Amino acid sequence: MFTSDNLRNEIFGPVSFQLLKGQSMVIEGASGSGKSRFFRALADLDHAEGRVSLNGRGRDEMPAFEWRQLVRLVPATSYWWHDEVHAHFTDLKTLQEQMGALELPERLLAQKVVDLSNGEKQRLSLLRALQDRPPVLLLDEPTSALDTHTASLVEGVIDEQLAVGAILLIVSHSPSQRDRYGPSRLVFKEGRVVDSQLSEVHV
Amino acid sequence: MDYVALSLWDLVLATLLILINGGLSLALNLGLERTLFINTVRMVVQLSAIGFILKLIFSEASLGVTLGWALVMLAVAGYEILARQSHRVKGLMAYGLSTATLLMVGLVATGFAVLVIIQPQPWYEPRYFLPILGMVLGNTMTGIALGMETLTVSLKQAKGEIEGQLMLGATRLEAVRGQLRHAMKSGMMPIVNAMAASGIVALPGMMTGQIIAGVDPIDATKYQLMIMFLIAGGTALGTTFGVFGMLWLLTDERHRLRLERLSS
Repeated sequence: MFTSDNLRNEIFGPVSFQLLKGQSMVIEGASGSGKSRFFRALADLDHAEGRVSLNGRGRDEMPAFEWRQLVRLVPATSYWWHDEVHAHFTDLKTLQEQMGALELPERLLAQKVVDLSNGEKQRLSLLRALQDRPPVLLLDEPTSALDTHTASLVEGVIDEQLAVGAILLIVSHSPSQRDRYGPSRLVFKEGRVVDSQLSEVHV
Repeated sequence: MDYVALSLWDLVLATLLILINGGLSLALNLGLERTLFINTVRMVVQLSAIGFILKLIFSEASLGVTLGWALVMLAVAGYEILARQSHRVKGLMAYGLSTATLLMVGLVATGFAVLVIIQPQPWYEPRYFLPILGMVLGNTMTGIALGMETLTVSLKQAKGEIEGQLMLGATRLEAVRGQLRHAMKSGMMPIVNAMAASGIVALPGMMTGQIIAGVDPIDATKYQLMIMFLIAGGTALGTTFGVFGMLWLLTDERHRLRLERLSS
């Protein structure tokens, strides 16, 4: 179970929610409403007051790098730090299967990052984040650079993660994704949660 | 020792050369004559003051006065490091870091030189202690300032790439490895390059001074070599300490990049 209790900083909050294994929640709100900063705080990249925990273990009870191995943020813009694409991946075998599912040709791995299109970067950065199977996924507009067909392939990959028990928080402006990953949702306006529908969790 | 001391009249003659400089500026409309004049006066006043202060310190030759002056040098060099940064860290931590780094390097390098190598009597004999400390600080300062500057600039440039690695569970040291290496290299390059050029392009200042003062060139060379080794060691030590210290100021124990601690 992934729990946020009164999470807040100078940009957003307070935010509270609980999600069980395999559950998903949609984050909505205009640009600049604090969604991305909320995600950064969940991943402990920004300071925030309040408690966040996964399966009873709090964020502050483990080193930050360990927390981020569990709570994986995939930001809207991807960044790459090696010249070659393949250098960003550890498990090339699993990767090649997943690339097929997203209609990414294998030859991309031998290419330079600068030669990738935005859509290719977006799909590859999602696969990069999935390599060590993190139990919590924070996806910030994961299909913004993709056409509807490719977006549906990505949704398929996300669904697989949910099916094996991942917990998903997703920022999306697409109505079909809101239906797919709702009904739980948080709506941000100027940093505050102005509307929410939370999943029922009986503790 | 035999050397030709300069009279006041000799110096007045030498200022004629500055007049050429000023004349050129006027003739070519460079607009430099005002700055030239002010900086010339500054140089004359500063150097004369130092001459008198050192004369006083040397005649005193006391531990307290020597260390007191060493502290003044440290404080100024620490400030100089900050003045060379294009992005300042808010608060006093950065000044503390650069002064502490210089203090450590000064203690280790100069202490080693006077206590182990030269062994003058007494050990704090200012004629040895202060010039050696000055050369060590002056050169180490350059390395530290360059290393810190390169680190802050490259952290700012690579913010996205660094945070991208942090998001995947990297530690702060893993995520900034490239920037760290780049900063260490640029801090140490000047002294590494200076070793290759020294002697062929220009005689180092101290060696020139000793030779004019009548010291045997071989003896002057020995001193110069010792100084170069001290400076190289001091720069490596200082750059490492300074760059890692800066990294600690710009990240936190939750392995986050804290670039908002920079003021500009």
